Amino acid sequence: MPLKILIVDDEAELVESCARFLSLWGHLCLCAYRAEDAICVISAEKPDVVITDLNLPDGSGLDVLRYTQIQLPKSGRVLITAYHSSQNKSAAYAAGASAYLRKPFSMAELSATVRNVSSPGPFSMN
Amino acid sequence: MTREASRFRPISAAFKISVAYIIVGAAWAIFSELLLSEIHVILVNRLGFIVGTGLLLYLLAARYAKNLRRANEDLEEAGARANAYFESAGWAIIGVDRDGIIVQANPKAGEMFGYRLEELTGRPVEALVPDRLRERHLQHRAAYFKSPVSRPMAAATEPIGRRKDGSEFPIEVNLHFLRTPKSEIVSVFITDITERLALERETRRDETLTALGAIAAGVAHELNNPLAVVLSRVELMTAGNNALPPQVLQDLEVIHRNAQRASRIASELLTSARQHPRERKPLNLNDLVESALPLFREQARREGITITTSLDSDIGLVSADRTALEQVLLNLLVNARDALKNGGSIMVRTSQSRQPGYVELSVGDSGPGIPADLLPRVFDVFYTTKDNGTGLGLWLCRRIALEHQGRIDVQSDLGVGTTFTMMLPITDEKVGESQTA
Repeated sequence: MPLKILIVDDEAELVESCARFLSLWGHLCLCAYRAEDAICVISAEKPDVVITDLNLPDGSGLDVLRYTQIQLPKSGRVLITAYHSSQNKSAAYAAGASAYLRKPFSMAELSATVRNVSSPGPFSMN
Repeated sequence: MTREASRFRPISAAFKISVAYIIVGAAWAIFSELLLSEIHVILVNRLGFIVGTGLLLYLLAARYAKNLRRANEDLEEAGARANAYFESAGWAIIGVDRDGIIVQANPKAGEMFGYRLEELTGRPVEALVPDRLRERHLQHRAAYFKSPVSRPMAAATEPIGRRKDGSEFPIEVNLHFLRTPKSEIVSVFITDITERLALERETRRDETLTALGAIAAGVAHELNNPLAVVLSRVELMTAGNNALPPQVLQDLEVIHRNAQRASRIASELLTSARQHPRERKPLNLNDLVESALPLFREQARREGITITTSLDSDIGLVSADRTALEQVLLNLLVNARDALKNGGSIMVRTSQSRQPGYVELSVGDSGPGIPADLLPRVFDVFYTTKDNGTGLGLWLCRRIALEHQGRIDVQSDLGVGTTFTMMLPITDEKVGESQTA
């Protein structure tokens, strides 16, 4: 089922990789590189899934997640980060993430995660 | 009362007594002549003279003896005390005269340099200096006597002491100049600083490791971003795109594999760069082995590897971060397994170390062994013989051992096998107590 997916990361090349890959699966991908832009897109486009990096140049991916959870409670929310630690992981889930991915992740992992967060089963984080 | 004052008192007292005697004697001589008859006068005069001088002598002698005795006692006490300090001092103290001959040495000096005291006195002080430094020492000595002053010998010169058996050790030297009525002596105070230097080295190394850890963590994190881009692009290129020539596909696979390897190195670096102090608890190594083995044993069996254990039930507890030691054990087991490509056996042993106060955990394999010239390098960071190895496993094991005040060593025979042994100090904590590392 094609989804509207927003990918937020200041690494433009990584955003492009993810967007192109997920497009192969028929999804519509939107891109943002700053927290502020991400929030604009979320309120304007109401994506089904939001994938965001933790460290953004103008803020934290956690804020993006929190905003998304409030605005779009049924959305799938994924945090990705190069700075893995258990504290980061707990903070992500506390901010409303449905999934947490460590960089570098494979494209297969990405598509599986998107599938998981967008078709919530009985035990989903939503 | 100082000795000077007491010296004057007998003299002035003797003077007073003598004057009194002369006056009394003169009065007696004059009046007895006038008052008594001839024979009596001579007798009485002579008797009086003897008795008088006798009494006088007695008074003077008694006083003199008393002062002498008191002076001797003070001297003896001072001498005994000085001697006690000298004999029992923790420094080596050597008295050296102008010609560079040792005139006195304390027991500590004998102990430090390996001589009997009789052997030291009369010997030139250069005997205690390594041959190659003697020339320089002679010059220092000559310069010192030109303007002798109490001071430490410059640390920049890095003085080294030489024992009777020829062995050398680093020392700290302090010089004091003594001028007595009979002699000029330089007293040399020497401390053996071997231990202090070793401690300083260790502290510096610990600080370096901590700093390196922080840098490693930063680098590792930063690498993850570009690696993510590389991996994702390769995956994109190979995703559902069968139009690529086989060689290109193969090349892409190589790129992908190596990018993943880089990523593993980054994450192992992150693991090894743990910054926060980990809690240590009393741990029985046998428990560690017994909990880690079952899963590993299963996998190993499928590869034709048998694992035997020899666990000494009497070994003491070690104060350790369990996770870290599990990592070490697992690392050693994986290495052992990798060495046994065609099957073989792995032996895991725990025992009391020959070195008192330590226990040992060893993992041995019956593999091909490691050549002697490569053996010293196995613990080097980034040294690996595996195609997809990161070269961090053994380096990390050694770091963990060192952090636990222990060590890890390797012993190997070509064609027979290799054994890694980790030695850790025993703790007297009981289970239930813990301390932050």
